[in-house]
Amino acid sequence: MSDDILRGIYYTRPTARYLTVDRVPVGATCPECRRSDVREYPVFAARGPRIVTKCQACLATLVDREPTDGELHPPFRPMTRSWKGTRAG
Amino acid sequence: VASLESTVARQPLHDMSDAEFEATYFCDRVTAEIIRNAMVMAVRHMTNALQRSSFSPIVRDQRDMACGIFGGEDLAYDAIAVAEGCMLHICTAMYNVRELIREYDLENLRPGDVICANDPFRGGNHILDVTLIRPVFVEGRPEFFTSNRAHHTDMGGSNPGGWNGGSVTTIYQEGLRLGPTLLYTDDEPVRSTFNLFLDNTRLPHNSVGDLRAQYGACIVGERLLHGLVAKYGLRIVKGAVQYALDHGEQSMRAAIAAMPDGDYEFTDYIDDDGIETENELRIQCGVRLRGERAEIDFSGTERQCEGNISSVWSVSASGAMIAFKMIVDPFAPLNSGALRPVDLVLPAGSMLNCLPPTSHAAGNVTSPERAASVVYGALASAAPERAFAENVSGSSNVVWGGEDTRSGNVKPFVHMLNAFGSWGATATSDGLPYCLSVLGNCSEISVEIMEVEYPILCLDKEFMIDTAGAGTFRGGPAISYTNQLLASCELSFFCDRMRTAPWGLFGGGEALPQALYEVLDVDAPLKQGWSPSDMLRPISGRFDRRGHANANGKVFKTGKFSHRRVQAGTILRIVSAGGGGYGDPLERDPARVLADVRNQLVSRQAAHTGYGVVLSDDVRRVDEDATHALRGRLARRRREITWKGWRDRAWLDEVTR
Repeated sequence: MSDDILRGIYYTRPTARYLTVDRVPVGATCPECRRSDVREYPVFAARGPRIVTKCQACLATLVDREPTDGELHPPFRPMTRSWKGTRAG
Repeated sequence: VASLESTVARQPLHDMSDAEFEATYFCDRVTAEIIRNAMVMAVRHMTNALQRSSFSPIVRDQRDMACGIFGGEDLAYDAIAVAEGCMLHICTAMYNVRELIREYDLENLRPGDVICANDPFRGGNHILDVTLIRPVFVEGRPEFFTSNRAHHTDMGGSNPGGWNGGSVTTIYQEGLRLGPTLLYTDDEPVRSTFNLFLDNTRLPHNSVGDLRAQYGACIVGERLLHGLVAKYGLRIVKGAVQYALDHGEQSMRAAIAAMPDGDYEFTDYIDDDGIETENELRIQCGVRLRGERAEIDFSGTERQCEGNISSVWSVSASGAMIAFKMIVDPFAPLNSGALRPVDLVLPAGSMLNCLPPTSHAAGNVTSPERAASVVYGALASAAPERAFAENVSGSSNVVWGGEDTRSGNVKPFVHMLNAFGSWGATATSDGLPYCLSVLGNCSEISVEIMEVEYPILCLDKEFMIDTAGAGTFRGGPAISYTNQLLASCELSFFCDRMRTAPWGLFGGGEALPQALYEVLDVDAPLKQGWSPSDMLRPISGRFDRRGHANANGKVFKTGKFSHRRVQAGTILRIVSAGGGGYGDPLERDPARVLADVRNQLVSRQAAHTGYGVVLSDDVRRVDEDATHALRGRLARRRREITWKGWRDRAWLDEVTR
C-alpha cells in the first residue's frame, strides 16, 4: 500500500501467488440453522460491493451493509470522493 | 412503493391472492405484466435506435452494445429492464450505473442532462466501453434512468484499438479514462467534454456519431417511459417495477432451490498474460448452494498479472452471474432482482478483482470468460443435464490500424476483427458452430461490410475437419479464417485458449485450440480448413512438430502481442477454437457420425478411431455390425481411459496432401 493520499488509487501487485478472501469469525449464532460459524467478509451482491455477515453453513445473511471508506471495497476510491459536486460534475 | 428491501420474506407471487397482489404492487397482475414487458420493449426500441443511428461497424453491425432502464434512488438504481445485446455490457451495467450516479450526485442532475463514463474501476468494463446515463424526471424527480453502453473502437492509448496485448502494464497507457462526466446539459452537447473525448481518439469521425447515437437511444427510452407514466400513473408503474424485480428474484430463488445443495468446485487456466509467458494463470471457483441461496467464491485464484488481462470486479461478477443464470435459471427475464440471491467473493488483487492502476483492456474478455467457464464447470456436477462443455471462451481479436488510401483520400482506420469460435456440446445437442461466446452475444461484421469499410480482403472462412471435441454430442468445429491486409498497418493480437484446449465433459473430448499463422503463399492449398504446414508460419498458439495447432504440442507462442508493423499483402490465418464434446464418443448415434463425415466435419479415419463407426465404401451408410464390433473392442481397450481428444494427427498429412 502506498501513501495515504493515494489510498484507493495506487496499489502494488500482491506478492502472494494465490489470493483468498478472509472470512472473519464474529462469534454469533445463525438465527436460522443455529450453527455458530458466522463470519464477516466483503462480497459483490445485487446492489454492488457490500460487507456481509453470513452463516457459513446455510448462507443466511445476518448483516448486509455498505462498506466504509477505510475498507476499500471496491478497491478504487476517486481522489475527489469527498468533494462537493457541481452542475458540471 | 411498499418495500425497497429484498423480498426474501415476501409471499411467493403465485401464492398471493389478487387483493394481496394489488395491495403490494398497486395494480393487478395483468397490468403489472404489461408494464414489465413494455419496459423490456422500450429497451429493445433503444437498442434498435442505437444500432440504426451509430456510425462505427462495431456498434452498427456487430452490436457490441446494450441498453437498459434503471430505477431511481428509492430503487437503489436497480436494473429494471434489459433486452438483447452484449451480455457483458448488460450485466456490468447493473453494477456500474449505480456507482456512477452516486458519484455524480443526484442533486446535480437536471432534466436534459446526460453523463458519460468509461472508467473500468468505477464498476465499468474496459476503457473502450463508454456508458451514457440520462435521468428521467417525473414530477420533478429523477424516477428512472435510461442508459446504454457501446464499444468505441479506439480511445487513444499507445496502440490502435486499445488491446495492447503483451505490452502495457498500467491503465494510463490504455487511453482516455473518464469518471462520470457531463456530456449533455439542457439537451445541448457540452463542448469541452466532446473535445476531451474526440481529441483523444484515432477515430473521432466514428465516435462523434456513436456518441450522438447513444444520446438518441437514451431519449427514445425516456419518451417511452414518459408514455407509460402518462398512461398508468407513476404509482402503478413503480409498483409494476417492484413486481418485475420481485419476479426476477423469486424465479432465481426457486431455481436455486431446485438444484442439489452442495459445494461444487472447478479450476481452469488462462494461457498467459503476454508478458510473463512461462506459467498458466489459475482461475479457481467454488459454488455453494444452500436452499434458495448461492455463493460463488473465487478464492484461490491467481494474483493479478503484469499484462492487461486481469479484470475489474464488475466484469468478473458479470461473467460469473451470466454463467450462473444461464445454467440455473435460463428462461426468466433478467433484471437486478435475479442477482439478489447470489453473492460473489472476488479476492482483491486477484486476476478477477484487479487493483488500480493495473492495465486490463483485454481483461474485459479473457478473465470474465474464464470466470464463466469455471462456473459452468462447477455447476456441471450439480446439474449435468443442463451443463455444456467448454466453448471458445472469448474470441480471437485481431486489431489493425493504419491509413486507408483506397478512395484516393487518406483516412485513418482501426478495425477489430472478432473471430468467433464454436460452443461446447450439451446433454442433448451438438455445440453451436461459429458463434461468439455467451458473454459476448454480439453479431459478426459481415465479410462484405468489412471489405468495404477496411483495406482487408477475406480469402477463406471455413470449418476445419476433425477439430470439434468428440462426444455423444460433439462440440462445434474450429474455423479457419484467412485475411489479406491491403495496407501496411500496426497489428495487435489478443487471444487465449491456445495453450489449453476447450475441455469436454463426462468423457467428451477436447477441441482444437486457437492459433494464428502467417500464410506464406497466397496460393497455398486449403483442404477442409487445413493447409500444408510448410506453407504456414506459426505466430501464436501451441504447435506440434509439424507446426499444426495442438494442445499437446511442445512449442507455445503467446497469443497476446501488439505494436507489430505488418506490410501490405500480409496474409493472416486465424484458427478459432472448436467446442468440447459431451459424453463418450462411442455412444454417439452412428447416423450423426455418418452425417458429420459427409459434411466434412469428421474424417473417415476419425470416425473409425474416435467414434468406432465403420462406414460403407461409398460413405452412404453405416456398417452396423462392423460398428458394433469395433465399438466393443474400443470400449474394452479404453475402460479407464478418459477420452482426451485427437492426439494422433498423422492423418493430417493425408488430408492436406
